[in-house]
Amino acid sequence: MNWKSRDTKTRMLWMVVLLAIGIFTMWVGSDLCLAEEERKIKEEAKVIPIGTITVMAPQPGVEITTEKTIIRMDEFKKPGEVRTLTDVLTEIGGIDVMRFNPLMAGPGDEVSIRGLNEGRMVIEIDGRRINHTGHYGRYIVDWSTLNMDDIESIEIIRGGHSVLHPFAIAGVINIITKKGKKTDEVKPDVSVKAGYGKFDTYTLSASVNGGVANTVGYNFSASKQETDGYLRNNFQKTDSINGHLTFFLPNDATFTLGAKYSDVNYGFPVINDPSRADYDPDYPKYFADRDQLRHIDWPQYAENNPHWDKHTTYLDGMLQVPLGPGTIKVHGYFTGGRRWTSTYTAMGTFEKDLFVDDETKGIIIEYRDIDLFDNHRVTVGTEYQELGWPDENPIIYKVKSAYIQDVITLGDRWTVTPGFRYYHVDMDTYYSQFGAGWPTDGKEQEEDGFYPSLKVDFQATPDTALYAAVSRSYRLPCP
Amino acid sequence: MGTFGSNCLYNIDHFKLYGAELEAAIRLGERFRATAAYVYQKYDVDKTGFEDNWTYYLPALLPKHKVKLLARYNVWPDGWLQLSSRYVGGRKAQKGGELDDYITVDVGFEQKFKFNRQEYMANFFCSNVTGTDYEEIPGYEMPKYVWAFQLGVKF
Repeated sequence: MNWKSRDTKTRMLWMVVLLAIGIFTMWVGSDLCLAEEERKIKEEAKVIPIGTITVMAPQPGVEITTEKTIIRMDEFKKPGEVRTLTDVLTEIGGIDVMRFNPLMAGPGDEVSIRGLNEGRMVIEIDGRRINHTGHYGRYIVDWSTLNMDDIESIEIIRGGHSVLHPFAIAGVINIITKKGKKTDEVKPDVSVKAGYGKFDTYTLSASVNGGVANTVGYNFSASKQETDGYLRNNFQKTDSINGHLTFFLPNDATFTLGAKYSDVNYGFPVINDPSRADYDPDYPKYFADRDQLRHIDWPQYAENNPHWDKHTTYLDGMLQVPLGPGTIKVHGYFTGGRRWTSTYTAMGTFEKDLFVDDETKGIIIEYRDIDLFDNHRVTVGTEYQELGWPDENPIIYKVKSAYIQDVITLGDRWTVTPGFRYYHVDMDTYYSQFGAGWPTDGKEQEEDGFYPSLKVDFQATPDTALYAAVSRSYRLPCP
Repeated sequence: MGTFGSNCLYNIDHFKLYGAELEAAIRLGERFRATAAYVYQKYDVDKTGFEDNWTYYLPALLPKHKVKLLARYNVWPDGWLQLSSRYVGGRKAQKGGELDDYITVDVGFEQKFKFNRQEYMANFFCSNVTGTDYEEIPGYEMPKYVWAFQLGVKF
């Protein structure tokens, strides 16, 4: 239980720091407002020709180009509430979502792009990877933690051709958060929503988005969701809180701080077999021979209320500074997940509050969109990332990578995008069960290599774009 | 570190996946907008010698054919009827056997209105309105006629 209190303290401390910085900045912001006005007068419009781009806008909030699909959350509509990322992804062509509870995004949901799942695609928040190592149950991405309260848009890149995103074989899903507005209007945008539905499912959410004196932007949101679930014991309670502050600095530079936190209390569906004495006819039948894509593969029973409680924290700090023909970005990040699982083991005994944690931290330094020689747009960057299990093995993977991409415009119709990414990965993992037997731990190795990519776009007509891409990709091994 | 390996069994160098995606934007008059998507995907795998009776290929659990339709109809000012429908083809199950194909339909109605300089929203919807028996993951029966409503205000 000590871990829970430490986690709560860390979360509260971070939110207090964010709020304190926000209040302080509102106070001093009015003085900086005049300087900002002077800068705006001096600012000259800079227009860079990027040629013709075919954009398919099938409906409000969705844009499709040869590069990516962009979903703008304020405009995107579907029947039903859009509470989590999987609520959006179910509507997008080329993406498969497999759920066992459609009432709320669950940790066992499986999302695939072009036939490959989270182990072979990248999920990002503001351009940084959030995939876990997947240890202890293959929870590489826990979709239940990705609420939509503070999401501005979602970018989906199909295929592995973008070297700007690490380990992207199947593609990239990049969540762009709301970071507040640059405005001198005092009144913020406030939104409050409440909903209720079958299976005693209810949701409450509130958000505030605004800015102070053209100096600081802020976005804070909180939500609460609960459902009894459809299958027996498959309840879920999710509380989340998010905060983002953006400081608008001189020369168009920005410094952004962000925090996302969720607390998911999730009940594992339990066997509900009419041949058993504990069968409850009020719930659907559910047998021991069901598929188990994500959960640890042994049956759970109604007695003892098998469940987990998971706390997830995403912290980000990002500095962006226009410099010469491009923009410098320095992005530090942290993801921490802490689970307390109470389930039946393979031996049929009940284990209470088994603690498992995961932690990812890293930094990205990037010089992007460097416009050179009228027809080149170059991005170069480097990233360092550590992924681990603090309680058992703090650094399972240590990833160092560097990348360069050049978008070359050739006349009005052709765009060629070469690039490569270099990886050096230190691993402290385990041996496969196939043939090696137990114990499986103690496998240490390192790998490195260059992974090139080439994409060619041809603008056949203003309404028709063709492209072809070939790339070599790398992924972290996962359970 | 010692933990649980998964039962999924495919390495990229023993695996080929190919397919086609077709997406269409449909606009009929000023009131109707829709997106339709068809996806075909197929895979081939080599025999690696590691196959066992409890291993599986994840792409085998995905449908070969899939159609998604997302549509909106502007019934009257700021009132939208919404429909989402999916056809999912037959798939294999992890532990053997096959799942049948299915079609689901979700419908909803959203009305926005302004009062006293505030924007209000009311949304009513029903998922699986046709009462289809289906499973996305084998063994997990999905619910029917899942209704809900949502109210919101922006100011």
